[in-house]
Amino acid sequence: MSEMKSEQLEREMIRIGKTLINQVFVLFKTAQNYEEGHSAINATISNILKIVREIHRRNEEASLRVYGGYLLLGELRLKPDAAGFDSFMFTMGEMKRYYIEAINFTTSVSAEEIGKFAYIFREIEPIPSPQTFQKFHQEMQRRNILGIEIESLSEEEVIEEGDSSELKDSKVRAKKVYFQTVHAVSEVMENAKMGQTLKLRKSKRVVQGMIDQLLAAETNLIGLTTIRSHDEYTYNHSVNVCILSLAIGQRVGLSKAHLCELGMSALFHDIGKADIPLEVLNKPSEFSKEEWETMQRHPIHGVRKLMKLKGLDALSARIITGAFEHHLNYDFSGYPKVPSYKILSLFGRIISISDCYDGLTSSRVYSRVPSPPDKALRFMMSRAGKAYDPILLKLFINSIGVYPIGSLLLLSTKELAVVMQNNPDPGKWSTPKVKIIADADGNEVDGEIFDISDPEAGKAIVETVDPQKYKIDVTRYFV
Amino acid sequence: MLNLAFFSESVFMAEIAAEQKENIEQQEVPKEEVSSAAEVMQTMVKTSKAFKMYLSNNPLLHRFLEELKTKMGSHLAKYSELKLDIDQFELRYKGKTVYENRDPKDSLAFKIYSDGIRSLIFSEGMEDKEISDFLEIVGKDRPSDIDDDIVTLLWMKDLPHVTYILAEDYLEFDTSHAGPTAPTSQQENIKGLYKAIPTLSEVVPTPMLIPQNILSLNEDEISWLKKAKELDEKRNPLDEVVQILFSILSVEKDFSVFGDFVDITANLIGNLIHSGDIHYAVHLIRFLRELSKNETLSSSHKDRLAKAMEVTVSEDIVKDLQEIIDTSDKIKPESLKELLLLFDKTAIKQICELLGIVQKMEMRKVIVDTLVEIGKDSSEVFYPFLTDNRWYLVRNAVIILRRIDNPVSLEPVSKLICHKEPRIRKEVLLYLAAVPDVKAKAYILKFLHDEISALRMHALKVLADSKFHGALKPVFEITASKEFDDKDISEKKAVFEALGELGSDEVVPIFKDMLMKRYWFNKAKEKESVVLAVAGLRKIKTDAALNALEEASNVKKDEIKAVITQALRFISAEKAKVLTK
Repeated sequence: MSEMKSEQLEREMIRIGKTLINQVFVLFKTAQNYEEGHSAINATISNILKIVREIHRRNEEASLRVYGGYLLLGELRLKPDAAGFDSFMFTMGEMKRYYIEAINFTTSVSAEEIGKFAYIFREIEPIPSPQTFQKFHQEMQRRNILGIEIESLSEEEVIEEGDSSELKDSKVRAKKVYFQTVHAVSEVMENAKMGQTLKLRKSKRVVQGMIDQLLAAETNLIGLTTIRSHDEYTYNHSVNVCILSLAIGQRVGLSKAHLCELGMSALFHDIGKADIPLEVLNKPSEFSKEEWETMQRHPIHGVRKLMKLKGLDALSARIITGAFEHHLNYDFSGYPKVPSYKILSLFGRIISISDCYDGLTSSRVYSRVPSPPDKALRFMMSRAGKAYDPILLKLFINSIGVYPIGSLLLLSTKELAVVMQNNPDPGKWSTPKVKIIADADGNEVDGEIFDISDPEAGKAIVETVDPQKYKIDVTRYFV
Repeated sequence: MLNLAFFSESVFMAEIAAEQKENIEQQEVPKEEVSSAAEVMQTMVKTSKAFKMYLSNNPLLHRFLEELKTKMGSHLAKYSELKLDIDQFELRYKGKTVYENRDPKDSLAFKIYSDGIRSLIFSEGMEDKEISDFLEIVGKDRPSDIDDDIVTLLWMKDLPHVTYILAEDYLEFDTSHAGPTAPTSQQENIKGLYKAIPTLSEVVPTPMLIPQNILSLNEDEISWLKKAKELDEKRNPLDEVVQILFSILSVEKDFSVFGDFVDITANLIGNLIHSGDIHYAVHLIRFLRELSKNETLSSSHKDRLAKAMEVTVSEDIVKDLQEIIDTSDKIKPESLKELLLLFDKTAIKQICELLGIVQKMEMRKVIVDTLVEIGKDSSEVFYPFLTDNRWYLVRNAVIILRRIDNPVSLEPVSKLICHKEPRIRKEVLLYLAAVPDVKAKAYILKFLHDEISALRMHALKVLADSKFHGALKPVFEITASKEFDDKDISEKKAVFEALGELGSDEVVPIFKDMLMKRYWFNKAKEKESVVLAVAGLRKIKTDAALNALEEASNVKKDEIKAVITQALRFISAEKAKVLTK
């Protein structure tokens, strides 16, 4: 009974912690948008004070701490869900930008101090150096803020922009996980083709690694989904669908165990293709009617394969569902045609979105001509509520960006740039972080990554460009 | 085409081990530190064994756990981490062996190594709960073929101060071919792009108007997502798979694919029964039955289905069912009945076999009830079991035949009259009693000489109640037999009661003689004779019986007279009752 009670208390604290983060996010945003002293911020300050008092009443520490890709309330790890994902990321991002590892609201904190604290973020322009923290701390002292304490970011938490060794390591890890997964998938698929028992332990391990990587540095992994398969010998498509599905799943707020099931389900959604003749799969031109009908059988083949070669357990059941459902469509207008099947699972809906996006942007399927990412996204958005779950599609757009990672952009300065990362600030999603790859004269350059929303950059997006049309490879900037 | 080349683990591990050894040799590890690590390991091993043996509230386990927490805490406080390198049978701390056990069944190192872990790192700040959670995972035995191995369980638990390095982390992958080959420089293609885009000088940035509703979730959507997540967490994946199978089987035209799915479903039914998921098994069997009646199904499809369903109840399934029934409470009586009723007559034999091996009485009753229902038109299916060497199966078969109530079973059942097992003979007697056929009554006569008194007495009662006149002589012969005197009084009375019922006024003179007979030197014998005669006369209740009693009453004295008088009163009362009606 006492264990139940302690679990309940923990759940309550998690709820309080998430509310605090959300309010801190609103505090930062309000301070950005309104001058100091404006009454718009008062309600948020009052909310934060209430929350802090509540935490203290429970004899807990009212502190937010960045730790290994998470935010902690005291020592309690807080995991973002769909509702709070962006506020989490933004708050964590802001703290890291200012080299702040922890913010502690003491018992003596006042509303005035919270307000003053928020405006320091507006006042100080962070530079990528621990000096930012020193400056911030001095400003706090100058403003006589005693009720809030801050700690500086430890070395492990610092990941600098640009080509610092930490960032490189993170990219290397992402790459390693990516290719480990491709290898694991290919082993299983080859076994499936030969009708051998499917052993999924290795695949499960790599999916776990992928989830860890996603939680730590999502962008690196999503960037690797620009690696496209151009034939059916390689399994990049499966891995890409896995990554994209996990990105959605993370935003839904699935637990690690469920994310792992989702990842596995996405990884093997096309296992039925092991029974489709290669000459059909790799046909370079459009499918004939018969060939298309053959292709449309792969979900059923997938179910058959899995049940025969793996048997049924909790994990394989998930994979079976993913294999069967991923082409059904949200409104069941897809295939296979099964009138008695009425409910599409959460995993089926997620994988359907990821599969379609990666399929549209590859040259393997559908029209054999890949679409540029933004066009693919627009096409999918036009079919929200019909082919795709509209809410999950929103989460998908949140994860890859309005200008999806890998998009090629023409800027107002006539430079060419590749979208490298979504802007963590939800208000700035239309201005991603980009890398210049050609100057105004069309000379190839190896530019820095910068934030288009930064007014000092003085650049704006003019239009997206189809990289396939001009045979420009964007993958190289992520691998 | 992606070209992935990787080095074998053994080459890499050898290189790393050599490198590690070199590093370690270069730095002396203080004995005190190694000793501390070794102590932690010893305690950990002891505690992990306790996890296997004891329940979580066992005080000894608690004591070991406390000891481990103290030792671990002390080591981590002093040396900030405890990193163990995992070999097949050994754990090493900074090159020194701190644990070794070469028994694969018992070795902690072997268990961890087998799951692919090559290093384990415990960091400073490790909490008590993390230690318990860790031991919970490594301490318990699990089948090696399941996917939830130590690594997965550690990963799901996400212990912040326990990290590990896996064998696959040492593998390298050639990632140089990360997609289609492309020229090192893209200058040419970029130039091509710039040529193709006209009037670059007129380029004006157009702000992209992003409707906020595309990007942000509103309250309803957040609420929907929360519910969707909760529903997904609660769902039983089997529900979906079953639905998928139903959907495919309902529409699949290709014969080969259809056949595959029929086999898959039949296998699944067997597996579900094996695991005790009777509800789903029932669901699937019902579906297949309904499907077989579907008019849109081709005859070849129907035949295929019928063939698969014939083998639905195999020997293995029978054994599996028995094991689950007798060793767990997974199957409720009503679920078992539901399942068995879905099987048709072809499964009666297997269900009888099940009856023969199930131990739980309550479940045997359920099986018997079900067999009665299924087999009501097929009594002959049960005949082979009448000669089974499992006495309870034979008895149950007789019970079933009695409840089916088909007179054709009389001959085979009657062969068991002389069965050595009295419990079977009892059921046979009950069977014969229930059969109205006069032949059955003739068979009951044989029970008059059964070695069990209760059976003899029951046979007498049955014969008497049925007024089978053919029994009169044999019953009378019993009274004249040598063994009669040795019978106890209750059986003797039963004999005379039967005589009275069967003989009526015909036997009154005999009873009268018994009443009037004088035993000058054996009053006990006289009393018995009167008691027995009275027992018989009480069943006759005619005037002749009354007269005989009255006459004897005038002659006899004391307690013998009392017995007679009581009988007179009884018969008079009975007669009066009859008159009143």
